[in-house]
Amino acid sequence: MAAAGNLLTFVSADNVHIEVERDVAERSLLIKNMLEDLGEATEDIPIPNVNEPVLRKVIEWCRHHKNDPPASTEDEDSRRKTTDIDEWDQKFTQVDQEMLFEIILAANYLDIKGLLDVGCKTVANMIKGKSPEEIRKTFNIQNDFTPEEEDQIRRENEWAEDR
Amino acid sequence: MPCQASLDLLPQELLDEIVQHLSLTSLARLASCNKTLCRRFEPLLYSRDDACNQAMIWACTRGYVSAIRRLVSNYRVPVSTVDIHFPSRTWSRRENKWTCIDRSAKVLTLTLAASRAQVNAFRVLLDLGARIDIPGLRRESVPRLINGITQPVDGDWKMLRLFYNAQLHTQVIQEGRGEPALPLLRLVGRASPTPPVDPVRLLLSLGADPNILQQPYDLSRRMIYTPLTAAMSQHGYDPTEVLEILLKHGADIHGPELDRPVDRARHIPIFVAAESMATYGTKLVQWCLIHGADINQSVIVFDQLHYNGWSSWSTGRLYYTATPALAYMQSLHRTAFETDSKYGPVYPLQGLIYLFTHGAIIDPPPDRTQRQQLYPNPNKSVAPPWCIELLVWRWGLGKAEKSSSFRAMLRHLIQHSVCRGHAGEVLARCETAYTRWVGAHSVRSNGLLRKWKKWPSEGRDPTEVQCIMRVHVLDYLTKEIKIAPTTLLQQYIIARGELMDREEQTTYTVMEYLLAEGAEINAPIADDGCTALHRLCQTYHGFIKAGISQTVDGSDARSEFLRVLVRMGADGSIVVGGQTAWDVLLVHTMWYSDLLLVWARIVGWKEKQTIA
Repeated sequence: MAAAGNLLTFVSADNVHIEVERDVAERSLLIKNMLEDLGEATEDIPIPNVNEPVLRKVIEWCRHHKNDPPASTEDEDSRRKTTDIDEWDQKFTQVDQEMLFEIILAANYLDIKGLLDVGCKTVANMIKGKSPEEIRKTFNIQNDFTPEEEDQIRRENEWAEDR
Repeated sequence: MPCQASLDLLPQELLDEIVQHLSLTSLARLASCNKTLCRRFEPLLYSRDDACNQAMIWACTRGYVSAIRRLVSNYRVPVSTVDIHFPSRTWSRRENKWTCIDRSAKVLTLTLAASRAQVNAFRVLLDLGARIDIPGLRRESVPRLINGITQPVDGDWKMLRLFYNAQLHTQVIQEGRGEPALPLLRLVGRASPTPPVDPVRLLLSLGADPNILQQPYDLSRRMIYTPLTAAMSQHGYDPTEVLEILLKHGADIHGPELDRPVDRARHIPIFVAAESMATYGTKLVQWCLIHGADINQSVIVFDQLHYNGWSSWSTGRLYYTATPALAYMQSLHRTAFETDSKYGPVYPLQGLIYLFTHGAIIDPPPDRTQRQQLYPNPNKSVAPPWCIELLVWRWGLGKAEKSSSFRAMLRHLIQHSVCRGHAGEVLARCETAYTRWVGAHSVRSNGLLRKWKKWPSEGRDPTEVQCIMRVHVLDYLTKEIKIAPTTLLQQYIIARGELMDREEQTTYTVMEYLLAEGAEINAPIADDGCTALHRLCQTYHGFIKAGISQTVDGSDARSEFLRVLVRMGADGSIVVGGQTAWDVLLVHTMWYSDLLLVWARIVGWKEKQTIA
């Protein structure tokens, strides 16, 4: 199916065709660069690593943020220090963990800096302030330490508390 | 809905991205979740600012041996030092207010382990090659290390042993001030409740030098200790046993020979023993003497009698050869003269008598002129003071009113000198020392300094000064010891005249008193009819010829003294053996003070006689 006017068509991994406005799609640096290389995209664009529900979520985010100014490199550091997420993004990331990780992976693949950032911050916020036991519970991490080893590593890492 | 192995799904670069948003605390907790996460996040954790340093401090102080090994071998953390950060308040001139800035100091890892008694960490650090001769260390780092290793852990000095086995004692570099940074000195010098017999034996068997000095010369205090004197100087345990061990291992009872003066002779056992009589009584002195110490050993010390603060710093301080008796006199504390002191009313005197009966020479001190020439600047060396001078110079004479122990000591010293034929000189020295004391305590007689130092009010009223001098020295000499006023005056004139130097002010009190008591100033002192003035003029003539007036410029003070003598009735025109006193003074001298000449003309001396 050819793209009509300003519309592009993505083909997800599970072979679902989704139409996207070009300015929304260009939030992804991958797509943007590809379009610049190809000139006019006339064919469907396959997104092989991302399945339909995830792709739809990604597009939803891009559509909401299509008018954002591009992130400058200067405030890179300040961006890293803070884990503040704006309200819409917070609501947006209220999904199950699998979906969240899929979004992060997709954002990484499609090279959408803003979304990747939101995803990572969300995961970081899930880790923050939790004890190792709580972290394990949250992310379903299996504890393969013996009690002695666990006690030792806890004591050895105590210097980092309250920092 | 929890997912399966969720975090593991993410590639490392995304994990890195996520943990960048995490604090050190969260990251450390994440790394403690399981082995895989530990492997993945530990490098990230330690790549954070200062994380390695903090982890190392933590591991050293808590004794986490495996962490120390891991940090040093996997993360290349320096094994010898860590940086300790601390806030420091400084005045910011730009902002015009106090600001708190972060400072950091380099501290030894071994110090951290030793001060927390972490023997295992100490051992591992040494295995990994920790050293202590690191430049730019925080000053107290090495002394604190020494302090730590000289403390027993579970009744054993394991760290001391490790320290020596690793040859760390060869790395100790002592810097300027600060506590002794040598294990033996620290060990014996600490006032522990029990004598450190075992560790001292251990240290000596490990090769510690029993004669080691606290080096270098401490500029702020100008004192140096040896293990023997450090053990004597502490007031915790009875040092005898430790002293015996040190001596058996070759410690020198005579102490080291230093090539410069000290403020106090803290490096010579007999001196420290004499000074510590207030604590130990005569026990340590006795111990030193039994083991061959010389009770009249001499040490060059800085002169405190002629010390006038900053001006002395610029010109260089004077020094003299001190003896243990003088050291004892200087060590006397205010409380020693208090009637209700724990020593009993005559304690200070007993100490002195003990030294004296064991051969100490007091008032006048042994002649050390030969030795003084050894020092690089003989001009700065002065004759040692007498014990009585030190006593009066430090405490004045007013104490004799209230303190029977002070009175007993003063009288004993006076009597002692009188017996040795120095009645006039002891009087002159007493007067000089008292004048100095009054000067020092009345110049700064008002204001905070007096209040702060709790100076007595004595010495502000000249009549009071005269009265005290009369009652406690003059009356004692003439009425109790019953020295004839004439003899005393003659001796006094000669002695006082000799002691004159430029700083002295001539006082009339003593001579007026003696004249009132019936002394005759022109009485002959010898069969040939020589008067005191004659004898003094002979001495001055000798001074002029020897050029002494040129080195210590006392000629003006001397001519002033001669003038006072004339005013008191001394007759310079009495002819003895064909010469008047003035002839004796000025004949055949190529050089003399202008003032002296002018004055001599005034009193009627005929210059022609000189030329003839």
